[in-house]
Parts: sequence; C-alpha cells; structure tokens
Amino acid sequence: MYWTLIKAGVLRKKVRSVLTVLSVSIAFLLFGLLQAASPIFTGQMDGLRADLVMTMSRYSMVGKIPYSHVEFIKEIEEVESVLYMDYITSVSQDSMLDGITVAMGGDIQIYERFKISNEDLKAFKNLKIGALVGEAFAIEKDISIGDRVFVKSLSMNADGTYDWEFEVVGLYNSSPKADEMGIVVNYDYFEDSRISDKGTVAVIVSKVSNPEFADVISQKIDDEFTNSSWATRSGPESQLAASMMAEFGDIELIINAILSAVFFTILLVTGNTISQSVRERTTDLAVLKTLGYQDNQIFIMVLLEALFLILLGVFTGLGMSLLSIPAINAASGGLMEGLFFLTTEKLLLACFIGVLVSFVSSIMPAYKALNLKVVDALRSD
Amino acid sequence: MSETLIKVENVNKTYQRGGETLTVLDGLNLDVPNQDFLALMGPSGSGKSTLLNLMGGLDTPTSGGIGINGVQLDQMNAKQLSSWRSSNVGFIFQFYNLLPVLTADKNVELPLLLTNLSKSQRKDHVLTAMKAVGIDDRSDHKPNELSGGQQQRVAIARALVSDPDILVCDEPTGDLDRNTATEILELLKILNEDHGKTIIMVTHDPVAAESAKRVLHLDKGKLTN
Ligand SMILES: Nc1ncnc2c1ncn2[C@@H]1O[C@H](COP(=O)(O)OP(=O)(O)OP(=O)(O)O)[C@@H](O)[C@H]1O
Ligand SMILES: [Mg+2]
Repeated sequence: MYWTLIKAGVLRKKVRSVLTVLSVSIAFLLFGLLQAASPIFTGQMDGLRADLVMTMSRYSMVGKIPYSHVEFIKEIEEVESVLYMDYITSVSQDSMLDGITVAMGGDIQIYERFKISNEDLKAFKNLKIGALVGEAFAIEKDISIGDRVFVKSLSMNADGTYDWEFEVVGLYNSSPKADEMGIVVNYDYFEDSRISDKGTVAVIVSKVSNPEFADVISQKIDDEFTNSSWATRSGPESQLAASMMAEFGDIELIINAILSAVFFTILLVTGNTISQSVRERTTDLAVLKTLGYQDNQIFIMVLLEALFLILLGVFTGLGMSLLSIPAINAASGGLMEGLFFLTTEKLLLACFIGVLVSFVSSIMPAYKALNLKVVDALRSD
Repeated sequence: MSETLIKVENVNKTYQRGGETLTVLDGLNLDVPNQDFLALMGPSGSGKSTLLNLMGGLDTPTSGGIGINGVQLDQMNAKQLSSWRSSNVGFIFQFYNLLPVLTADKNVELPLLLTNLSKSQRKDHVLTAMKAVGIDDRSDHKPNELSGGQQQRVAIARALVSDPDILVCDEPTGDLDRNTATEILELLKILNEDHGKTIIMVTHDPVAAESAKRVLHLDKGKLTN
C-alpha cells in the first residue's frame, strides 16, 4: 500500500525528485571521500603499535635530540630494544633520492611492518655505505641491487661537500605501501662522516615488553629530560601520530564542520522539497483520507516518502565514493593504500545521518498532512 | 424502498468566524430510505455540501444525530469514521479528484489497498467496477489522457470498488457538457436501480435533478419542501 503511494508522491514531480536525490547523493559522496581520507589527516592509521614508544624533540618536529638519550632509554627495565634514526633530507634537483633518506641504527627490525630478508639485512650491516631501498621506490626510480645512489643534502660530508653516496644492498617491503617510498642507510656511517649535528638523532623508537607500560615509560623518558635543553616528547606510536596531527589544527574538526554545513544544507533542501510536495498534494491527501486512509497512515506515508528519496541519495552517494576509492588508490600508485578507505562504521554512520536528515526534514510536513481536514481541503471557495 | 437507511435528526452545524457564529445547518431533519436517489438543490452557501459531508462521515455535526444502518456517525471519532467510510460510502466529486500520476486502474484500486484482498482479488474487483461504468478499456491511461466524462467514470468506479451501500455525489455533472452529463446521470440511475445503491446527489442543475427519485431544496440551513 505505502509503496504505491510513495511512488505516486515521488513521481509527481520527477525533475524535483531527481534533483533532490542528486543533491543528497553529492553530499554523501563528499562525506564518503572526506571520511575515507580522514586517516591521512588524523594519523589514525591501521597497524600503528601500542608497544612502540616514540621519542622526539619536544618543541619541533624536525628538532634533534642527543644520542645520549638512546643510552638512557636502553637502560630502562621494560625496554627490550631500541631503534634510532636521523633524516638526510635531499635539497637539490641533482639528488637521485628526492624526499627523505633515513639513517637507522640499533634494532632496524623493530617495525614488524617493514619486511627485510635476512641476507639483505646482513649485507646492509656489513657495508658501511650500504642502503636498503623500498620496493615501490626502487621500481619508480629503476634502482636495482648493486646500484650507487646519490643524495645532495643539508648535511656536510667529511670531504667538505654536501654529496652523499650509497650502495644499494637490498630491498624492503612495507604496508602501507606509502612507506616503501624511501631509503634506509646506516646511522653509524652517516654519524661518522657528517660535520654538523654530530651526536644527535631525530627519533628514538623503543619496544616495550608490554603495551601497558608504554605510557609510564613515555612519561619516565619525558620527565628525565624535562629540564634539559633537550626536552623530549614521547608516546606510543599508536597515539603520537594522532596527537602530533592534532597540533596542526584539528583537521577532523574542520572536516566535521564542513560535513555539518553540507548536511544542514541538505536538510533545508529536502525539508523544502517535502513540504512543497505535501502542499501541492493537499487535494490528493484529502482524497485519500476521504477514501478511508487514516491520518496516521498519511503521516507515515510522508515520512516514508522522504526516507525513500534520501536513502536513494545516500546509497547513490556512498556507491559513488566506494567506486571512486579504488580508482583514486590506483591512480596514486598504491601510495594511499591503507590510508584511504571507508569502514563499515562510516557507512553505517552515513545511513544513520540519512535517516536522521529524512526524519527531521519531513516531520513537520508529515504532521501537517496528519492534521489536514478533508472538508477544508476539498472546499472550493 | 421502505426502511430508513439514513436518519438525520435535529442536526446543527455552526462555524465560528471572527467571533461570530455562522449557522450552516439549523435543526435539520431528514430520512433517506434504502435505495433512494435523492437530489439536493439550493442556492450557493445554503449548506448542501455540508449536509452531504455529514451523511458521508467526512465531518461531524455540532449537535444532533446522524444514524446510518443502525450506527451513529455523530458518536464516532475520526479513526472510526475513516474506517466506516472505507467500506460504507463512495464519494464522487465535481472535479473527479483522481491522483494524477496513477493510471485509471491504480486510482480505482486505491480503496482496496486498505483491505486484506490479495493482488488478484483486487484486480478482479477493479475490473468489475470499471466494467460497470464502461471504462475498462482505459485502465492504463493517466487522468490527463482522459476526457472529463471518462475521468468521472473512473471516479465512479473508484467509489464503487469496495461495494458501498451509499454513493455521495457533490455536483457530479457540474464540470461536464450536457451530453456527457446525461450519460453520467444515466449511469447513476443504473447504479441506483440495478445495483441497489442509495444515492445522494447535490446539484445546481434542474435537468440533472430530474434523474433523481426525489428532490429536496435547502435554504439557509433548512429543508424547504
Ligand atoms: N470550515 C468552514 N469554516 C467556516 N465556514 C464554512 C466552513 N465550511 C463551510 N462554511 C460556510 O458554510 C456555508 C455553507 O457551505 P456549503 O459548502 O455547505 O454550501 P453549498 O450549499 O455546498 O454551496 P455551493 O453550492 O457553493 O457548493 C457557506 O457559507 C460556507 O462559507
Ligand atoms: Mg457545495
């Protein structure tokens, strides 16, 4: 019964219904894409670990901390192993390796998400100027094992130039794939050869025996250095990325503000559509009541009609985002893998928002339809 | 044509309009026997539609009683009236009042969607009603593809489809030319005589009133003869 009536209502002004569905679907396409991208902005990535404590300079993301901090952290009871690293940023077009080269020392395999074969690791440790290249990066730059690679960097080499040269001894894989866009070299070699910033590292990663200790240990590290000129900021990897991103400005808040504005607009658009459609159909609704349709059936009919239009828009919009996400991921060459996706919760949230918007936008017109008096509506004078 | 079907007893209907009380029906009494074909005439504003709506269960009187087949409409609430209407009375309007997006047969089917009838049963009923008014060959036409007379036939089929005892018609030929009007009136006559429907018809047209068995005149809320 309701289906016939809903069809009759929706088809009455086809263009208007199509436009309504379209605007709703565009809003939810936007929702889908922004939500899919939010891990990029918020640092809420999958696979970040609670048992890895990251330590870096308190006041600057690119600031340095002394190597002696590594010695301190290694001595903490619950710390099982430590990785420390510094960045060799390339500064010139002449560099082969644009982006960031990382000099690593200590437990290089602390990140289980990086996969390095034992031979490659051995070769890396045995050759001072050895380098491990991410597979994606190797493919993009056409680098193979045995090649020599060059970086023009801010750090001066012992020979007085800014040129750094390494020999590729192996490859590594990682998930997300974005982390394969890099190259790892030996910290000891870098440290020995550089002139400036000697004895410093950028980040220390320590594996703790139990994730439950991560917060306490982070606190302990930060307390130790709080009054030194090398104050630190430590935290479990799983939280630190998010809290650092939050310092840029709460991007999630901005996304939510945009989406709220969009949904508010949609609310007005559909509210207007529904109340206009009810107003135009005053006679039809009165006729239905004359034929014996109950007031509450008419009420439900209006609500369902709005729900139908909006859910059609929601599904179209989410469908479009679900279709474009793999396309966008493919276009990025796999770099956004693991960073650009929609969870089931987000999809359910969208449907919930859709139901809410439909209810809020149609409750007043539905109530008007409920109260419509047949004799008044059918009077011609 | 003997026992009383509709009994209107001392009915008042008033409206409040800006502090003034407007009396539309004034202590009105009326008995309509079963299988009557009654024409209601009277000047504009005399309360014809108001009386018709009361007898069709679309409205309730300010005071007085309306008994139909032993039930008192004046005692019913809106919900009870609405389900009473769906099975006991068919409405026919001057402007047909079909739903524009639905085809003729879907329009006729509307009252049946409220029943427990199966799809095929509904289809049978719709076909029977449309055949009875001679419009079954236009079942998949939309209202705007039909002439006024054809639309009125569809509307009559819709009024008939749930097989009510009473047909209530508010100027059913008011929007039609003479010939078409005559056809519609012939149809109403057949429904009255052969199908036993009790018909109450409001009309301004003396020729139309001649089709009825009885004519009553309403003036200033009272029946005159
Ligand atoms: N809801 C209402 N509120 C106020 N006045 C009303 C209302 N309904 C009807 N009236 C008044 O009641 C009077 C009778 O109306 P009604 O529609 O019954 O007349 P009618 O005889 O059918 O007239 P017409 O021939 O023009 O259709 C009119 O003066 C009308 O303005
Ligand atoms: Mg009238």
